[in-house]
Amino acid sequence: MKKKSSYINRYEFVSLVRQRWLQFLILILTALVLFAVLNGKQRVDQRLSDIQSAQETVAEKDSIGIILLDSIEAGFTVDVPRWYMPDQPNVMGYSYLRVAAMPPDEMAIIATGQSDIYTHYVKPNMYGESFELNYTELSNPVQLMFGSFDLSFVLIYLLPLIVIAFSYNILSQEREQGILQVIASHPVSVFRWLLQKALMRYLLLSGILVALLVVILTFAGVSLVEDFEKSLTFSFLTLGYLLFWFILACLVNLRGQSSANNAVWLIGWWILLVLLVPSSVNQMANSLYPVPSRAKLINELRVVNAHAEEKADELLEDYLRDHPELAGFEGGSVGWQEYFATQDLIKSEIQPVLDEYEIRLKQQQDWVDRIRFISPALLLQSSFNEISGTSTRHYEHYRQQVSEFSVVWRDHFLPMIFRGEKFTKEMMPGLPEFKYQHPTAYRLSVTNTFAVFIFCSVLLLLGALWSMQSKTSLLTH
Amino acid sequence: MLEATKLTKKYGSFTALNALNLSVKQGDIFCLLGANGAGKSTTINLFLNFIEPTEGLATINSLDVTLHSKETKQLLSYIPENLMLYPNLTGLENLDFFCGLGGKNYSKEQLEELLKQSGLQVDFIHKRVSSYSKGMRQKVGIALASAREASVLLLDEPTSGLDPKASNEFSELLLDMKDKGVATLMATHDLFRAKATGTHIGIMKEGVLIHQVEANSISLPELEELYLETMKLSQTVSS
Repeated sequence: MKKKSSYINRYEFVSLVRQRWLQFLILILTALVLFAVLNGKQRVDQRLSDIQSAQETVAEKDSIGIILLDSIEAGFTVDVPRWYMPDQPNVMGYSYLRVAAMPPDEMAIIATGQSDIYTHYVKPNMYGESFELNYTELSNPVQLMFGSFDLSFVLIYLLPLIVIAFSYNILSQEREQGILQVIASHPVSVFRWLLQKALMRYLLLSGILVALLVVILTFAGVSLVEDFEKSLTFSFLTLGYLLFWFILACLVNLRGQSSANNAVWLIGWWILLVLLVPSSVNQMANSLYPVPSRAKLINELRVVNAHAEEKADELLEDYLRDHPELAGFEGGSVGWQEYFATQDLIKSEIQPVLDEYEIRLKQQQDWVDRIRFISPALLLQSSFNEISGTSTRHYEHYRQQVSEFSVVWRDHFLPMIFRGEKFTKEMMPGLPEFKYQHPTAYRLSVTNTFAVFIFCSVLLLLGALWSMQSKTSLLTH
Repeated sequence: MLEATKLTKKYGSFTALNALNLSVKQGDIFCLLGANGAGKSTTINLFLNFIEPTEGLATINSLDVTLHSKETKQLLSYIPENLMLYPNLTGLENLDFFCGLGGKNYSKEQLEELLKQSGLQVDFIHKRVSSYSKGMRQKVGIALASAREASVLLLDEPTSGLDPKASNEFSELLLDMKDKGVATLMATHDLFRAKATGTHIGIMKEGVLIHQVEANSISLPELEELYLETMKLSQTVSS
């Protein structure tokens, strides 16, 4: 004997096909997912291409450097200016750089995250502006959290609108047509009928979406099997978010108002949860933990620089006192020695301002992390950034690695400069290389997935309670 | 069997139904007459458990409808004034769907036969309901009542707006149901139809059942006179 639910599912499906909803969903979702994935792929390909191009430039320059070193070491006169001579350690440290790249994660296509405001490769040199300054443009980790037309934009912003269009009248239509009374005269609870109907629509939309995501992402070169845990988390988050909007639509329908009224309410919720809450969180993060201005940092740097230049001789003496291993050599350039000596002072003087930046950024991020539970949209965005490897945490991790590498790079050449040594061809293979280390796994996405399902459960409970209250208004008006 | 005992429904200070006592036995067709707002639909909504009584009891086969909603709905079939069905489904698909909701499974052939018996034109059985007239939809309602083997039929002005031929066909179907032992409670404005099909007639005014007569004990002119006299009664009578 067939169950009541099988009748509801079957005829709901037939109705949706005849109303051309199914065809519309397939068409609109295909267009949106395809466009978003192609956008994401283009961005990731560009990133890979930029890194590869930088590495090719380095390889090309290295081969020229080797030829020059060969000639110099063979006693030939080379026709290049003094500041291009690779046998000078300061030239090597400044011109023959290594690429410190952050390659895109396997699932970087999903969310642009912070990738459109950060660089993915740098070539740290042994002097010049402090590397940290490249990152001070960032004033708020959520400032550009929402923006690109990527898959996360489609899933977080547009998918709820499709759910709203698909289900704003999931109960009110029958009520307005007078069918609900006929249904309610049968031995079936209106709430359970509504849930079954919503479940059918949810499964239909989920099925289409998951199939499209699997096909289009695979087509775009994302191996969903390779990082199965991330793929699974991504799927659960998306399906949980979808479920949240379906349950919200049911809840709004249970109020017993007209379809038009339901649509207005649901759009209101969408504006609140997807637009207002994230932007308010952004504003509040800025207000609660304001980041010092970049102008202040640059001024401070200039003052310290000027002060350091004035006292270069004195500073060099202090520096050599602190680094006796570099003292007592003849032949080194005093100018360069003074320069590096002043850099330590500059770094130590500017450090409090940089620290303040970092502290404020961390405070902002911590605050955003704590408050993300007030909106499923925030939960999803932070998770998608995490899964894509484009979160603030990923870039901060990369920045630290680059900072450390820049110190290693400088320290590799510094003794040679102080000792007045020449750089030789044999030293080329011994140059420090940057190897990007992925940050340790962070359970934020799993926590967020649970949080999204808790949202759904709470709404479901509210719906059950509400349905008991609203029976009369649903059936007798 | 349908039974109302001191059934009362109040909305704040307004009394929609006042201490109704009513009994509809198997094979009875009880027609409730009355003006708009007399309490006819409220009575039917109470039996359907769409609303809960303020006082009193509504039972179907001795089961309190508020406590045994699922069981009592298993026994009844309801046809409102304008039976609305899913416009994108055919008559047969609608019948299959609602039978399924009522826990009844039929083959396609059985459903076709039920629709034919209810008088629906054969070439409309597989057409979408959006192309149906009101009378055709009411026939699907009767087919549904037959299919569900309902022992109680609740009708809320089912012939309102039907042309005389369709109305007559509907009455014949009701009489068929009566012969099968179905207890029918029908709210109507149509005195002629009440006299022609009903076994019992009640006249309601302002939530009170003023008169209750057996249909064969009164002629149509007498019924009309009784109805009009009841409508003329001052409001204080009912209170």
